[in-house]
Amino acid sequence: MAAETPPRFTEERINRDLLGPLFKTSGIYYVSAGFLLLVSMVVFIAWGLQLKYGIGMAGKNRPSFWGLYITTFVFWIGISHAGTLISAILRVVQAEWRRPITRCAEAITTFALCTGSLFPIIHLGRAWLFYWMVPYPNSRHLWPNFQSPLMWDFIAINTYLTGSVTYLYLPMIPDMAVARDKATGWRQSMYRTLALGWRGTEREWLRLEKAISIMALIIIPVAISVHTIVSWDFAMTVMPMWHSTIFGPYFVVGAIFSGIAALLIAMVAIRKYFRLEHYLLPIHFDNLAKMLLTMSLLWFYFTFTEYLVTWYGNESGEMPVFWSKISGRYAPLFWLMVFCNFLIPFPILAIKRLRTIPLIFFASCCILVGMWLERFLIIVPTLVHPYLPYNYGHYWPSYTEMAIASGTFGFFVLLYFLFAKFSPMISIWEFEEGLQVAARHAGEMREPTFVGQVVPGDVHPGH
Amino acid sequence: MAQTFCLAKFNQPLEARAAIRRLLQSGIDPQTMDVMTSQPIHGEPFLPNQKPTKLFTWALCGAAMGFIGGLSLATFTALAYPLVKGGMPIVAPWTVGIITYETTMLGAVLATLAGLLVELRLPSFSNRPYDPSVVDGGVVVAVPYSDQNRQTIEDAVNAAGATKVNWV
Amino acid sequence: MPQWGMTIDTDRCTGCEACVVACHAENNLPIAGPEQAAMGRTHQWIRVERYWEGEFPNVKAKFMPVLCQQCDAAPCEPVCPVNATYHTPDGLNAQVYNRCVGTRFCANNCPYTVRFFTWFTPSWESPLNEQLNPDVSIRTSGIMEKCTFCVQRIRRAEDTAKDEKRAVKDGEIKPACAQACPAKVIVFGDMSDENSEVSKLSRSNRGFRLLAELGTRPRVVYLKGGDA
Repeated sequence: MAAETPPRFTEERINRDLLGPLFKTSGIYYVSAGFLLLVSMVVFIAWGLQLKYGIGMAGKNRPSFWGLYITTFVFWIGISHAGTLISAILRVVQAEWRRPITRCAEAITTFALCTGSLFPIIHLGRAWLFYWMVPYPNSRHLWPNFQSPLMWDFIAINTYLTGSVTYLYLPMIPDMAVARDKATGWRQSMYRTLALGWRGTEREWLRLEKAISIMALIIIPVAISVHTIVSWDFAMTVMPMWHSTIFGPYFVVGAIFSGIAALLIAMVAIRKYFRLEHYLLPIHFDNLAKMLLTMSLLWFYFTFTEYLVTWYGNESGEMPVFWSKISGRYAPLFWLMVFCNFLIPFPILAIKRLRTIPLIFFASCCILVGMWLERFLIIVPTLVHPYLPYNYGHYWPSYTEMAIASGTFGFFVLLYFLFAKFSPMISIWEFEEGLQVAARHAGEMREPTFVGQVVPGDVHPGH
Repeated sequence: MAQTFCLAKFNQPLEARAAIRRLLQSGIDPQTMDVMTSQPIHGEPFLPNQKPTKLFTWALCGAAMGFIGGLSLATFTALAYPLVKGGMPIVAPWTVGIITYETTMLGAVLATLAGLLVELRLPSFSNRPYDPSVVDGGVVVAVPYSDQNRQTIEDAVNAAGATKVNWV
Repeated sequence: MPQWGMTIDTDRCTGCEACVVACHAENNLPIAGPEQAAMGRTHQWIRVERYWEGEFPNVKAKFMPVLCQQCDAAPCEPVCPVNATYHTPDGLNAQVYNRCVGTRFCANNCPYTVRFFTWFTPSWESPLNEQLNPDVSIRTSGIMEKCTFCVQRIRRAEDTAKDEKRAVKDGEIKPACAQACPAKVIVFGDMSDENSEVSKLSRSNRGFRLLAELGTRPRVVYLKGGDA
């Protein structure tokens, strides 16, 4: 199984390793969290300035009415597909290697959605009236317009957020119970509330696992629909190179692509920071890297198709946008994107000798840069080249915009940091269950036993 | 008077099964017993005749309610203030469909969660029988006892190899 | 129910931009200032697009005044999440200022780029603040706006006609741009009235609609055919 001999995993050891971060905090953690808190505050201060002085503080103009905010919004919603793919799809196909990864993946989904959901409010001209987009009976007797893709966004993202939080929380309940039984003081009261009185009875396990499988089956189509609907913010318009039927699948593939890259980065950090080298094994990174390679190829395929079809069609409205990306003003960014999303990751992920954890980390970072650029290059070149050439424009983000957009990265990492202090980043019961399943297969046992206590060759008569 | 429980801890599921077999033979009702572990144990269930779970039904009902809710929301809000937009029909089937799809899923999610909590009668902060040391491994079997069958139970669990027996 | 429409005769247009100035004055358009204008944030509800045709010495300038086309199948209308823009029964594309929350989706979906957004609260230095039109509301920061076919003039004419118990006469309503134009380029009126001037002109064989292939069904008919 594993290349190196793992230590003897007993349940006490697993509990100790994975619950350790909940009860002990290092100095580095405080410093990092403090820095992230400062970065997050920059977001809210810059946003406050924007609210006070007007949305004109952002660099948007006519004709580029959308810019960095919507780019980063689509980027974060894309990242949120990490958890769904790993957790849900791998659960459905019963891939055993998913077990140490599910929790950190589901956490990425939830917090990426939280971060991304800020932007539909931030980018509004009159953000204090955002609640007019919420469908509820009101004194204005006016409901929102469900024909608008932005309302589909609202409903879809809220559904996905509810689903993700549920899907994150349900497998957390038994781990909250473990934490409750090990914690003292105020922590114990917190975990006691969150564990809901979980005892681990057979009845409870059966229903929990059933609920999680149902959730996995539901969350997959929801995730696919969410990013399709976000892509329809563009595809439902008549603008050149936006009105493309490929956007639905293109964005979903791009989302899963950037999601896995973000997950790999998070896993590298967690593995190093919490010293979980025996839980997050090279095989996990290897398997995810292979999935990342598949996604890179798929992304390239979709991008190539989109641009080939545009070029071949030679429509007068679309060609200025096309050329501006291939050889014009946006060409440097475009080719950087192709480099980051395909030319660099492809050899790293395809050649076994290069598929090492540090290089996978580097490739994932490149992919995140490339995917952000991809969103930018979908939005801005189209907007600055509208149908009537007299109205061509230019777009350059302002400092406020850049502060808010880049600050959300700090905000996301802060949320993730806080979560790591609050819940074990590897699901304890799923990991133990995995060892049980593995021992059963390896030792051809007819009876499940607990890890570390395997008695090989022990065959018991029927039960 | 509150029910008293015997909490017997075993190292391996096999031993727990042996103990349960003896306890069932001595006439204890399996519906009153509980078997607690720190991870789900694969294989045959510990206790026979367990009620099957109806979570799938909960999810379907939730989906149905979500479907009706979404359909109503999208349709009736459009009809409440009919505005012509872009030459499209007042109630556009595609857009009603998208909203309905999402609310169906939302309904299923919430119903699954609700169903889980209802079936398990959680959250529960009352004193249900529990041994916190189960999180470090082992199987804990909780059996209700009275003065009559206390000795029988004690013999059964000790014969099966219980490492720790609490009487609460 | 009148169906308002407009014809613009590009063969007559000299590119003087009197219409632009008139619209600016009539509708309380904000003044961008040099920095904001350099950023691309000017407001010109009607603008005169100038295109050069040909090579020297056979160069021709073509002028096209472009304003909101009040499309029957307006792409900007269905995409507003709060119903701030919709099509009125008399054929105008209405923008409801106090409902707009500023998502700017409508502006992105307009192929004519005729929508304008108020990025900062507008202000007019004295004495310009004394020439604001009281019939038109001021749009504060964060609100989308565009040409309305001078709806305030339309409504005033309709009210007057109702008071006098008669129908609105053809030519009685002149939007500011039509009123200011020295070359009689812009003609406005009721398209559903077969005898109105705008109706007859729109049926001319010099008529075309801008970006008609996008299926927006605009209500502005451009006339072009001469070689002026």
